[in-house]
Amino acid sequence: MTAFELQVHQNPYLPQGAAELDAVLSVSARAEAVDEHQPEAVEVFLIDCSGSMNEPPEKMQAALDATGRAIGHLREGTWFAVVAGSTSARVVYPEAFPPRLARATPASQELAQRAVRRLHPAGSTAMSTWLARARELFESRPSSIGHALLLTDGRNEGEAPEALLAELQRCAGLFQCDCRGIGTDWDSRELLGISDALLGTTDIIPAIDDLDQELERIVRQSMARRLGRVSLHFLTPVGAELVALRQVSPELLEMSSMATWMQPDARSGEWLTVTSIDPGRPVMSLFPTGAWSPGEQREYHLRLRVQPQEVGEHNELRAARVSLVLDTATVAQAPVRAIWTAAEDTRTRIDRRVAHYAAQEELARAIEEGMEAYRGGDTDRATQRLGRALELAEASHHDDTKRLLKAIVEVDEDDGGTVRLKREVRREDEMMLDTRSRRTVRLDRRDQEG
Amino acid sequence: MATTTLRCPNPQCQESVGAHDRFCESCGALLGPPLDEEPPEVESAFECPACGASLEGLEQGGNCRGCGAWIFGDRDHGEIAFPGLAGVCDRGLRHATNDDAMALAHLDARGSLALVVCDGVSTSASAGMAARVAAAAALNALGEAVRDGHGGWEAAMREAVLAAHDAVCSIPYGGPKDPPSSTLVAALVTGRRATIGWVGDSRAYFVGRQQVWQLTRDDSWSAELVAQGVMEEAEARLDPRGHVLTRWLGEDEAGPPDPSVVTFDMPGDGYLVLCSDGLWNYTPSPQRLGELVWSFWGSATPLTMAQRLTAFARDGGGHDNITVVIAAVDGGTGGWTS
Repeated sequence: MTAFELQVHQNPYLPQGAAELDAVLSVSARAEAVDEHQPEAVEVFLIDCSGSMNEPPEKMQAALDATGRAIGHLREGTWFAVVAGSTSARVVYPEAFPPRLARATPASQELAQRAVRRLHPAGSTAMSTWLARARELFESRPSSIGHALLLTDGRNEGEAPEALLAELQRCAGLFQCDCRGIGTDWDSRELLGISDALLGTTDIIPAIDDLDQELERIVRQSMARRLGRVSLHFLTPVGAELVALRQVSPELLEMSSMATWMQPDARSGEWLTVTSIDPGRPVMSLFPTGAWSPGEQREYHLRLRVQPQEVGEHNELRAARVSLVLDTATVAQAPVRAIWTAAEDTRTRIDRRVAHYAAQEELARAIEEGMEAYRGGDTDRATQRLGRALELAEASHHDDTKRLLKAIVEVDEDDGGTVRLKREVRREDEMMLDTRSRRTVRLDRRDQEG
Repeated sequence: MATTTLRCPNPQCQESVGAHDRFCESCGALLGPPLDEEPPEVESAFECPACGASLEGLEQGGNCRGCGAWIFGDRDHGEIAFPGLAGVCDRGLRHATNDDAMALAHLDARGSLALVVCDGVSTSASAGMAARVAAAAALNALGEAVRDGHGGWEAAMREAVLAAHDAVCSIPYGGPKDPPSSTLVAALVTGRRATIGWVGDSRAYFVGRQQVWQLTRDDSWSAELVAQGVMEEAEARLDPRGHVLTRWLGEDEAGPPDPSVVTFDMPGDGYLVLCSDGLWNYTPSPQRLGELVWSFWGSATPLTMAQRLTAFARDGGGHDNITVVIAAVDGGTGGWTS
């Protein structure tokens, strides 16, 4: 029994001369899947302790209480640490020099909770120092499943943006990071930049009452991810090129820039890691997908550029071979096919999944562009783009995004359904749309909807 | 022991390949023939839409021995004429097989008619079979609805399309191609009213004395972009992806198709024309089709008109299978010509 299932959805029939092709990969981990290596879990809490967390003091109190309770949800035996972040970062539990991880036991969890309660906010915010401290801790257990939870309320104003970008490059692939912003004074693009690079999510916690529940959810999800390092490998033949890879479900995540490449050595034929691609050899592009929990499903949109072949089934090309790799073992494989057909006489079926996610990506793009125009004061464009987004959300029955959009725009049914921007938009509704509009809906069968 | 290294047959590549590889790892080329498909075996137990008689043995085309309803597909060329109603189904010049099908009948003494055109999707398995069973099943269901006489023609049309879908889904299928799929356009004519249902890009037009109405909107990639205002009609026509269908009969991840159904009250006399893209590819606008029909006006019966439209498509290149089904409506008497 294999641990994972991999399915390629595509329309392999291309019009004569066409060079681009799209496919959606559905990957699911079986509910009973186990990772034979039984990798250990490492959880690092990155808690914002800058001065702003104390305005009002209840915010800091609630963040510390929620963190304490989240520590209580760690699985016994998990390696963990708590880092207090401001202008610099300090490991507040376990206290040791050099910094190291503690093993979760009822006793160590209680000690950590006590240490968290003693924290006092002060100073500014330099998130690269928090991530660097976390990275050192993860590096001490390199073959484990690493996850960080970053909790903040403000902008990364204590350092240059380049410092954060440079640190993110060092962290990528080593651990995953989910970011949560309390209130509305943080910058969604900043946190999305962190979670995107580290295969995680960013969301707003609008009210401090929601902190407990959200942190518990994140820690439980992290603990459930027991299937270690899963990666997608794409073998493309000479003349083919991987143009883009995007996770499209459950959330949109651009992965194109995360690839590393391997090619057969010209002399020995041995596959070696390369930093630039020789177009005369086949290429293996490797993408990390992080850790998975049993039963989890994700989908990816792949775009390839290939050399058009002659028309006909006999000239079928394998445009890519997709492999799903757990640690170093290939657990599933499937081809992406390409068959060229004469332009004037062939009608083919659209691939339902490719079309569905193309629309979901367009929806997210329309919201992003609409909100950018909105913040830039371009009311016409904002109205046009958000109106289009509403249309797409309706068409795909994306009720959550529709609700978020309706907090920003209103539809005048008396005026033939004209879309208008609301006069007053709450900042938290704006930020919710920014962060949550990347969530997609899956493709449902019409007859199952009832 | 001697070992031979197998080489990729692609002259530009010639890398070594494994004995059991289906594709070359280096250039991606297919190393053997495409996977063969199992020839499908289909039970063809269709009843005549008009009289309920068994149509056993008629699945490739022919008249019902009971009442004369006509179902045609598979063979290179077929024609049928009833009073005021006729159809031509032709392989065209380029395709090896005829994957179009048509079914037509007078349904009752009051002059109710049913017309169906189906076009099997050429990249799907058993495409011709899909078109034939779809056309027959739809005509069957429409005939039943009229015999029951409960009215509600739009609902009857939806049921007929779903019956056609179920028939296509019942074709045994395996192999690397898409599951059997077909388009469908059907018209149920009662009095001056035409109820049109469709899935895919086969079309229905009404050609009046001075005006042409396209009664269907293609379920295709290009038509959707045009509808959204992303592309102009002329631009979409040239796009190679124009023929990618967004709805069809046959197995689909999104479930059974949600057919479009419209009701059209035919104003004055004219011709109701149903056709596959083998014809409309050569008539770039409804107006062009109208001009052709007008040039035959008065001098042609529905059959000769369908023959001439088919000849026009063949003269234009005949790249695809061509099916044209025509019903004549006479506004002078308010009924149907015979």
